[in-house]
Amino acid sequence: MPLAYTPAAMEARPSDEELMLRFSSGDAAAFDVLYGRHRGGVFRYLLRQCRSHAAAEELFQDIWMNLVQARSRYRVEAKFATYLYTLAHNRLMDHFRRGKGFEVVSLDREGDDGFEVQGSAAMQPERAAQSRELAGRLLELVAALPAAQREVFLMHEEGGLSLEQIAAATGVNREAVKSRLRYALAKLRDGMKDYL
Amino acid sequence: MSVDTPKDRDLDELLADSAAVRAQFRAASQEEPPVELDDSIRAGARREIRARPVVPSPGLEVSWRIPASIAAVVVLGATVAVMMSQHDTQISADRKMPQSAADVGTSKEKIEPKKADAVALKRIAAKDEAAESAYATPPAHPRVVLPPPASPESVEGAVQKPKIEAQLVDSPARTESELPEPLRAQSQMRAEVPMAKEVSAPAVPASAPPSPTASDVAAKTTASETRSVVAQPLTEKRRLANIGEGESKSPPWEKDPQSWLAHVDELRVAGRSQDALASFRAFRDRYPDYQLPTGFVVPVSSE
Repeated sequence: MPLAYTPAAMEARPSDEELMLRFSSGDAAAFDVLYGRHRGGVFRYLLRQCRSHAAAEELFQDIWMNLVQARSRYRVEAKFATYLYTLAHNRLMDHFRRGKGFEVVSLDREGDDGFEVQGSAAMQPERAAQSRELAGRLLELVAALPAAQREVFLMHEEGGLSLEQIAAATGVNREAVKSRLRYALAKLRDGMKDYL
Repeated sequence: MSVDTPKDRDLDELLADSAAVRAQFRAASQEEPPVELDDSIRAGARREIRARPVVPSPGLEVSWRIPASIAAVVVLGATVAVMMSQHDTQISADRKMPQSAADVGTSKEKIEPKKADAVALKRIAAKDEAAESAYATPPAHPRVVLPPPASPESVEGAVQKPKIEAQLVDSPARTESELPEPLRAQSQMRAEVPMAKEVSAPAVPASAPPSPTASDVAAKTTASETRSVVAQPLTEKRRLANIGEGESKSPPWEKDPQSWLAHVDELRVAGRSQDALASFRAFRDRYPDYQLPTGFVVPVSSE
């Protein structure tokens, strides 16, 4: 989770917005830091939504390069994460409009390039197998969520966005975001009640 | 993750209840972009920075430049509009002024024929035209033309000449004898006619020292005359001055020949032979063909 920082650590380090302003002023190192903070969350958000590694990588590169090229137009009007996930959401919508749509991915599928559930090497083989099964089941439930609910859930969990920020990034009102998040969580809990 | 406002307490409870699921999801969701992709994006960012180095943010400049430009255009436009309206007002006022002046002239002329005969009017008109043509050439060095110092009559005439006319006669070396014929005649006539009532300044007596300076002449014109004359166009000033001469400045005895001759006779009897002679000459200028009554003694110069 990229944004799980302690308050002391957050005070010591520059904010995302400050880093982006430095990058806009020509500081390439600031971009490296910013990219390191958000690369995982954005990538997983794209991967869960389009369900294809190849498509997710293509979209991921487009989003970051758009941000690089539009750096001079950046204004601190909201949190940087909101700005970044707005770019991601818009790029994803373009991707869907071009007809590429969703790929239904199953963890049981052979040659799957959509998900790779990683387990700890220290785990016992039985526990590791159980954990992989648990993770696979959970990711399958996430993939089965309606697209709108999944998007809200992913922005909340991967991006760490608040309800307001999600509303701003997706262009819907806050109550709709809240409702979608509640439905998503309820479905996931319901689907995992036999495993937890 | 906690939600922002107190009214989301139910959602907070749901998030707390879902903590296990969310923790399980975070443990399961560990995919990362490929390292090659990371390197490609970072290199692309550096390449962009090098290709298009720092572009100063136009935010501040735009924030004051655009309103400043709009304000400048508005102020300029308002100024031009005000100036144009003032200019139009001035033009319309200038157009109205000659008409009103012409009206004044017309009303004066309605009275004038009763006072002077046709010959005198014709002569005045000819003199005016000549004066117009003489003034048409702009003077290189405007200078007051002074009469010959030896002649007291000429001195009196020059002193009583209005300031404007004195200033407008050009040619530094010109004397009265060098003036064009009509203008010289006009000048002589004005010198001969008694003009004590024409100007507010006291008339210079015949015994006054000769060769008055230009400043003396100017000083004898009142400030009100100067102001009114300067504010009007040149031809208009001259025309109005002539009208004034013909009406308000003419002495009462000039209204008819008999009275004028009686006045000349009075001057002669009173011993003012020079004044009598000057008045008689003016009479002859006005009425050259008038037959003198029998018994009228023509004044002669005492010298």
